[in-house]
Amino acid sequence: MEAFIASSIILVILAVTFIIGVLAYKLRIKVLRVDTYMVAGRTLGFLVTFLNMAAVIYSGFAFLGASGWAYAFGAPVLYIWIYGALAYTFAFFFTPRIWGVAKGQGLLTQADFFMWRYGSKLLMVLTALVGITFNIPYGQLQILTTKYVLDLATYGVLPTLHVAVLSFILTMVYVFLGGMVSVAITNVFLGIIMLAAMLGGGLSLIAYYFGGLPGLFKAVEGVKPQHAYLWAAVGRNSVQWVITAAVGCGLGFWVWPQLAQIVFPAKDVKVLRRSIAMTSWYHVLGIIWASLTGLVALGIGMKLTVADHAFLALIRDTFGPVALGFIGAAGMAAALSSAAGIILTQAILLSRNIYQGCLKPAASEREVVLISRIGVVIFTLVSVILAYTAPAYIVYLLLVGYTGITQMFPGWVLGSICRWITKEGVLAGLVVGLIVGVLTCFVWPDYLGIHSIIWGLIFNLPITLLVSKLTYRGG
Amino acid sequence: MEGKRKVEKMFMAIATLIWVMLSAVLPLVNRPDVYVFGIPLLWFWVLLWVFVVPVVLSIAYYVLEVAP
Repeated sequence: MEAFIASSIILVILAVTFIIGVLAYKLRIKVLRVDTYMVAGRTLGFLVTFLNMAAVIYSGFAFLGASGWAYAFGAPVLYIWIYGALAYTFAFFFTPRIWGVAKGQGLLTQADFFMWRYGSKLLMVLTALVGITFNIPYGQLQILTTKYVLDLATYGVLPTLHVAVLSFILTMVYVFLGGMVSVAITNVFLGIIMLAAMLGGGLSLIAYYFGGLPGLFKAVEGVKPQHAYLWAAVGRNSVQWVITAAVGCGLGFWVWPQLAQIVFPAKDVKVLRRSIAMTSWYHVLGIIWASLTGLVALGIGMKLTVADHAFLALIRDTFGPVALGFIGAAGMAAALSSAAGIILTQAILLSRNIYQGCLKPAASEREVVLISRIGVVIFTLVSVILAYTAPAYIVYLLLVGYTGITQMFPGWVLGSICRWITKEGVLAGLVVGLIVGVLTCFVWPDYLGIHSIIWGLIFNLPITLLVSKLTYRGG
Repeated sequence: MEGKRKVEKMFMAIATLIWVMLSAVLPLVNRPDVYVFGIPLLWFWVLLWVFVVPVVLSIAYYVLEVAP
């Protein structure tokens, strides 16, 4: 009975999401053009831009993973709090600039920017491929997160991987049909559910067991006093790791191509800045309280085999199946809303920058939209196949994902600010940064306790600047 | 326009201060023995500055985009 109640709530919310996604396509799209499919015709107002931003940014992994980190490691979870805060202060000043360029030049993707700014097809294709490749494990991860949610919410009654894949495919149906319009409008619904669950679930658990933060930390001190601070000289529990991870992720945050894809649809700069300010509220009201539930689980002595189950297991044991269904649906919403943004972005990079940009420049709008839709099917299938087979190398892609993507920072950010950054400089820096990033991910993992993102940038930035200085010819 | 640019630069300086407080200052507040309002100093410090961000950005949005 408990499994039936929780599963029903999740399935109802999934059905409503699907209906909204399809209706958004039916009601909002009169003529399906390239800019409608990719950036919603740059018409999105504040509420849709804000909640679309929040829903794409906060994935299922952030929803469940943050509490798992707090449960397993304690203070290192602070890096997640910090990098979000750093990223929003940066975005408030950076994204209006990039939005203005995109609007003025008719750019539809991040790789479009590289083509326009550097006049290099090679750089455009390379950045599109980096964006597609490093997002592959994130698409797959959203299916597995959905499975985690269902494992707990269905009390093991349903074949959870099959149901997770089915819900993923349903989401991709409306992505296929309506592109960014369907994704954005559906994300309004999902974003509200996620915030309500993170804030409501987190606060109520802390209040229920400890009456507030002082009580929570007192309990944690009794169980694991080292969770209160960063105690190690090197590694994840060291101060330098948390600082470099937070700064690195803060810099890399807005380099992910799907975030360019949620910035470009904003109607104007006012909408964009208001949305970023509000998403920073979303960060402090959502992710912080969700992650603290990991400490609640620790404080009450809960024994978990999978740390990422902390939030949902607490809800199940404390408030029963109705609350579990609702919070589980929110976890699934977080996973599916991010997956929608990721898959759409991969498909758009494929059609716009690889197909139209390289293979067939004269392709019509209709053809590019068709290729985008084929891309949605292809990347959906890739994610589903990987979810079933889950080869080991996907974990490596995931580990190196943030490090790899952040190596585009000089070309994307400095290139939009400094006139003298050249394509030769960006290419040289990108290649060296990727090599150093991979080495400090796998050969010497986070060498000296410094995150591999920062190692990559330490080599990437000076090379980009030096080669740019040497190759800049004015104009 | 010139005035708006000046105000924007002021908020950029505040944003830079937030970056410093949430990164370079962490080694100084990483103290297992100090608690503020029952919260470990490190957690309190991060919580404080992370909450400052939306407040500052909301004011910046109002001053830069609404008030003019």
